[in-house]
Amino acid sequence: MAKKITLNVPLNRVEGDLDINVTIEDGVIVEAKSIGTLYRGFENILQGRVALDSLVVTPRICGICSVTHLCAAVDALENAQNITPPAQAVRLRNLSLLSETIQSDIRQFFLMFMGDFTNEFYQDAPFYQEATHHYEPFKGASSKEALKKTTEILKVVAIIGGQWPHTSHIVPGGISTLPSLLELTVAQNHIEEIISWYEQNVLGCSLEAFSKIESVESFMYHLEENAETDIARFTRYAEYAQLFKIGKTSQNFLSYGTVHNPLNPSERLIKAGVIIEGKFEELDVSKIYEDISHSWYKQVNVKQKPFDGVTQPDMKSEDGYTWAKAPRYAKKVMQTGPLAQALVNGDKLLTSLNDKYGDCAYVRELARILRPAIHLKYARQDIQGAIESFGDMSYNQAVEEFSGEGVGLVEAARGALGHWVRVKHGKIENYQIITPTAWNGSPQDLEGNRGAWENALIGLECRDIKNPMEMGHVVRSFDPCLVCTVHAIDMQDSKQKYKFKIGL
Amino acid sequence: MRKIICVGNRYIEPDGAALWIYDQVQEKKEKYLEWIEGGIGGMNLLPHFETKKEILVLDYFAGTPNATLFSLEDVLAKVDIKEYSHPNAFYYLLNSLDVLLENRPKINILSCNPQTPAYEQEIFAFIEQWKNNAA
Repeated sequence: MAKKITLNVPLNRVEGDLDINVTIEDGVIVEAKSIGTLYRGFENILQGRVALDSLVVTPRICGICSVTHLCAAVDALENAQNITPPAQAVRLRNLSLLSETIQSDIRQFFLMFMGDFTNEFYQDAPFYQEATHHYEPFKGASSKEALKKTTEILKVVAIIGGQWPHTSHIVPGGISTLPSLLELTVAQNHIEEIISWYEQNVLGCSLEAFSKIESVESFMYHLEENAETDIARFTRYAEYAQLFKIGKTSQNFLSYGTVHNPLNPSERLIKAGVIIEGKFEELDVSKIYEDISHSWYKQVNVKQKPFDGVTQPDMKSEDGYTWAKAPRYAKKVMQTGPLAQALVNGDKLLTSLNDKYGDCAYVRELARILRPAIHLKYARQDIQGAIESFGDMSYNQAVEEFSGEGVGLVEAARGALGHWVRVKHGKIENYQIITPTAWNGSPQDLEGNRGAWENALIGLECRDIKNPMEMGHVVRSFDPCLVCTVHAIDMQDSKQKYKFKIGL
Repeated sequence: MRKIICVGNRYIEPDGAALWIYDQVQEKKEKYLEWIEGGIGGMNLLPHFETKKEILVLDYFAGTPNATLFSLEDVLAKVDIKEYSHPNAFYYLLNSLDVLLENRPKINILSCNPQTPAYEQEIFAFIEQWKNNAA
């Protein structure tokens, strides 16, 4: 007789859990709370360790943004020691980070956002058959192809890093690997292959031609002319789902900028900055703090500067409802991610779309799938530069034991990621990490301001409370790096509680 | 040559069980085995499956006896994955291999249960036998 074995596969291992509790009155959301349900505590793991340990520990925070955490950790240590990496190292770092971000943007769009349009919620929609053909999980023709292509781009990191996954090739002072000329040429082929696929299937024209589309009108004309592209299909589905109207939170945006200039590494070619109530300002890192008034931490100092941040868990804190802290910039709730990056950088097309439709779910998600159009151009430039500069130095000796403070600011796939480190005699005295999902999914602050996506959910109408797809679209447009479950309470019958697994 | 991929989150107990096995082999030089720290790489592990080598995946399964061997087909039949998500990315990947690869390698999955006394010895004993079968 066969032995019966129960198999409970772990499906909860990336970074943690997210619950969103919403209260619905007459079909409309009147309250939303974003709840991070898993204590992370990496900051405490790092205390007392040798400074370079952050290069090994922090990439393991997230399997998707592993290289991004590595870059932030290295930037923080270089900042603390005032080290400038050589040009060739900057090119190879840019390529590593860009590759990881490109794969994440494409997978999120094809496998998550477009996959939602194949949900039974849309079975009567005119596009349902087409959406299923292209984007059905495991079977969709476009999704399968996207998965294969994103694997190609990750091979670029594997080639440069010499190890995959959890690579540690980026170190203070440069990079620790020396890819051969042949390997760089192979990496270039991978980049050209994904450019070709992206141009043909996603955009419907070359990267150069697309960069000339700067207005809403010319963009809509382009979609009509290229109706069988993924961005055209997405726009049609979004129109039906009314994504142009939902998911707006504010006109406060934060981006740390990305793609360092190899010849002047302190310059970011995609610039950093903030937009507050629609107006651009230079980034001032000293204005960032974390509010813990509604978080499960000891309420010693409710507003903490990251360098002095304390992570002391306390589930009994009176107003606490989440393990996430609430980062704020000059007392403002900020949203971060591809849309913020594009607007801060002055992207004309996305600025005109944001001017016309606001920061709705459509514009936010569109910004994500259009970002590779910019990033791939820089990847092409950097790999060409790396090949032409083959043999140049890619490492400067870093100081082995030092004392000091440093901050590493990087644009992750989901937005602004910061690492703050204080080192004393070579050991980490304090370490604080503010992730993009902490910005977007923060709880309320002391002044009662809701976090970005909490606010985006207020006033949202739900057609089917048992399958609240609208909520899914709104939260997913922020691309949270957490497993997300929405809990809905219907005020007509307060006992009724529905669950909607967004499966982020 | 065979390949062992250890998956899980090393910072969560007991999910990191396979990674703690991985850490122990770092000091050894294995002649017939390639060990990979798959960790929380999820979908990003696809390049490691683009091979003809037989693969053994080490992972923690709650409530499952230590060192129990499953075929890939067994696991996929038991795991109900309808769509891609960050936490289920690795099993989404395993479920997609047949459509992504023309000839996918033979894959088995070995459960690691650190709640079992001497779980490491049982895992290493299994691997020793598995390796010798290959040689």
